[in-house]
Amino acid sequence: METLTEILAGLQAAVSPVNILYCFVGVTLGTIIGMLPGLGSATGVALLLPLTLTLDPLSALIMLAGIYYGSQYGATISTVLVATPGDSSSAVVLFDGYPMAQQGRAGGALASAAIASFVGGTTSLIVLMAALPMLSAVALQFGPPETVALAVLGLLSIAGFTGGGSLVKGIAAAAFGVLIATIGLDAQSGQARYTFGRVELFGGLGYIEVIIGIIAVAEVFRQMGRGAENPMTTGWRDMMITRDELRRTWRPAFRGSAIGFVLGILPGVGATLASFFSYDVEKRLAGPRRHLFGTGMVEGVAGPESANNAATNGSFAPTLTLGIPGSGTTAVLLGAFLVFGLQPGPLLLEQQPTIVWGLIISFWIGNLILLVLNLPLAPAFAYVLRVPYGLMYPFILFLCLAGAYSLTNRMWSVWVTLIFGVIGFLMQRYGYPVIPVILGLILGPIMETGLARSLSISHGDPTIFLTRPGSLALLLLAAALVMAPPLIRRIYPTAKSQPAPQKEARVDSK
Amino acid sequence: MVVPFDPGGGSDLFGRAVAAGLEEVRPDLNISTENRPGGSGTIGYTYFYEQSGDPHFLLGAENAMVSLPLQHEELPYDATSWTPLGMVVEDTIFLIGSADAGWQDFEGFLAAAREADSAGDPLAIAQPTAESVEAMPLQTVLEKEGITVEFVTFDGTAGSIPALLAGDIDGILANPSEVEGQVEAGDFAPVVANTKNSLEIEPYQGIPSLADLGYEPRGAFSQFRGVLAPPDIPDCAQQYWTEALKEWTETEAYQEYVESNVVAPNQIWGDEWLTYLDDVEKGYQEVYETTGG
Repeated sequence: METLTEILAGLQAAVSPVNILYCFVGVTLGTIIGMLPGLGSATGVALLLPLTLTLDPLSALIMLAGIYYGSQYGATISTVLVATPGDSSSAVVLFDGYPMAQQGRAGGALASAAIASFVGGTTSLIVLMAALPMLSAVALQFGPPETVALAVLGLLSIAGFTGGGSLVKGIAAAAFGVLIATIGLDAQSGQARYTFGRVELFGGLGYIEVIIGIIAVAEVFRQMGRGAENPMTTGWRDMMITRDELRRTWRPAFRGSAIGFVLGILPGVGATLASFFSYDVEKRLAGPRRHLFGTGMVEGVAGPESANNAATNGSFAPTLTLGIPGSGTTAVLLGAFLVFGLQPGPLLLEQQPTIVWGLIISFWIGNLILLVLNLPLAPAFAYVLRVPYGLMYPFILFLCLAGAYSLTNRMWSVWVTLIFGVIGFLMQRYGYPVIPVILGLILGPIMETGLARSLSISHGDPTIFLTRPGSLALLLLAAALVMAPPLIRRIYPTAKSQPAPQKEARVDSK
Repeated sequence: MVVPFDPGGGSDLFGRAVAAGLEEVRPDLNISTENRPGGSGTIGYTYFYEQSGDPHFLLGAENAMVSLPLQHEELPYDATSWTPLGMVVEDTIFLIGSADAGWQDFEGFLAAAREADSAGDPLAIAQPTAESVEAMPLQTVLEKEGITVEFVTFDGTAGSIPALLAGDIDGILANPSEVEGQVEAGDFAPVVANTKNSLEIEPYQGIPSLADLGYEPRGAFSQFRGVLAPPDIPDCAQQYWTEALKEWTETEAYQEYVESNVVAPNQIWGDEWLTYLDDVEKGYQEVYETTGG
């Protein structure tokens, strides 16, 4: 009963005109950012975070979350219309969405994607709302050892899945993130580490400065010299989804929701895996029409899109209840929570029910706005891609640096951002994924303090991680996540070919 | 108004309350509050030090102003470098145990801690910062009694409350306003005020302080909050700010701050505050020497 009252208070907060406005602004900006190749949701949130600092925390989080799932819609638009996935989680839509566009059915693909996303968003939201109080209750039983195990799980899973095939590079990137997180005063002993006597480094490197640098600035460097895209134009009439396409959207959409939510909830695994997995499931279920996948099947668009969006919502579950980010973007959002003085964790729901429920309900409002916007306007959005990069990217770079400065009002932050921009650029150039760095940066301190606390409690006995059922289970799951892909590859050698088209898409895009 | 900690914490609330209070008593003032968190406060204090001579900056200070320079030799300032305007309240930190811990008062706690220590499994108590200024009074008492307790650092209470609820730790040191919900629900019980004085605010009146229990109060027992100006500002500026602060402590807004944050009013103005700070510094030095910290 109490929960219901709190949900109603959240609903009230979320539907206030101001918050609906911020939600609208968030999803619109998100759509545009998502369309720009390379600028994914994590970048978008990091880029615009400094702009929200003066807002009320709920409005700010609503807007930032809006950017998150708005950019997923945007990424789909650019995937379908210019064969350039804006975000890795939309890459799979390329297989069938782009062929549909080539056959003049871009509208059908985009509409089906929008409807499937809405279905995925809505169903997963209902599950999230039902699960959140339970998860919070479970999270209260999580002691320091379980936190450590969960952080290990998060780090290994993201390292494994965004490594573009190279687990070693993914883990190296995550380790780099953990390493830079140790700079500053040690939270346990108060000792200064890696500060070289410089007081600026006592506070460590700010999450947000590093994130803006390594993702957004690096991407600007990477995109230098590119021209504008020439998106396919679609007429108003082409936007109408056919009855047949609509009929074929529902089932994959619901299946995708389930897949997405479950995979999204695992820390770090996230949307990309969910969308690929859903595509695979749809293909297997298609029976005799299986060979048609890749030539423009609506199912191949609807399932992954729904999974992608459901995973976004799923990734909020560990973020809100445990303070362990479920994805790269929620890692950035976690930073936003901290900036606003909100500590994500089991007590968040108890202490700030209005913010939590308001935020969650705003997801639904945002998805609704996106559905309404996307059905008729998706091709119009695509015109953004015609803005020459020569104009767009300097502006984005300016936003990055001004944003970094505004975080601390120190030039120091600007230098940190620029240096990490160069580091991020070099990492991408040599095939190291950058998202694990961010996860490492955020999860590293969580893991380290958890480790120190656990060992304090056990008086130095490391078996505490294995004797508690919760942490043992999580550690086993982490081991399984690392071991499973190579094993599966050995058993089904064909499965290996799957992630490959994702890379092709990158090369294709000039 | 510089706050060297994150928004939302005790220092932030204090800094904002002072800023609003000064604006109330000096209506022509417009004070903006700036959080400069990081490095357990070093970033904010160092920034403040860079404003030497400028009377347009204030800083909401607490014990870190004494403990940080003692722990980090790199810092170019110490507790007496600043222009002291005044101390306005004393914070109260309670030792809080879970209601089913088996000890309801401080004596019971000592007995349990002694037993656990001799069994080779010392009690674990959460402290909110790594500087351990909050733990110091209890630590000195325990040292005197010859008992070892494991202090586990949790940043603030966001992690330590669930840990105490789950039974991973045995007690926490916290300001009662942070655990109001759990105390009201009967899950947690405050045992002793970890400060010089007991509190006169409901419902914490009956809870004794360490001094009430016969332990000699020392400098290190204090948890103060006050306001600083940068070094080397003109005397007239110091007077101006001290007067304004004094007036604030006579307003209703001040009373409200004291009650909602469960702190104890205790005021020392201007340079007189230095003697008090000196005492605190000596107390800390003693503890750091004995613990080697």
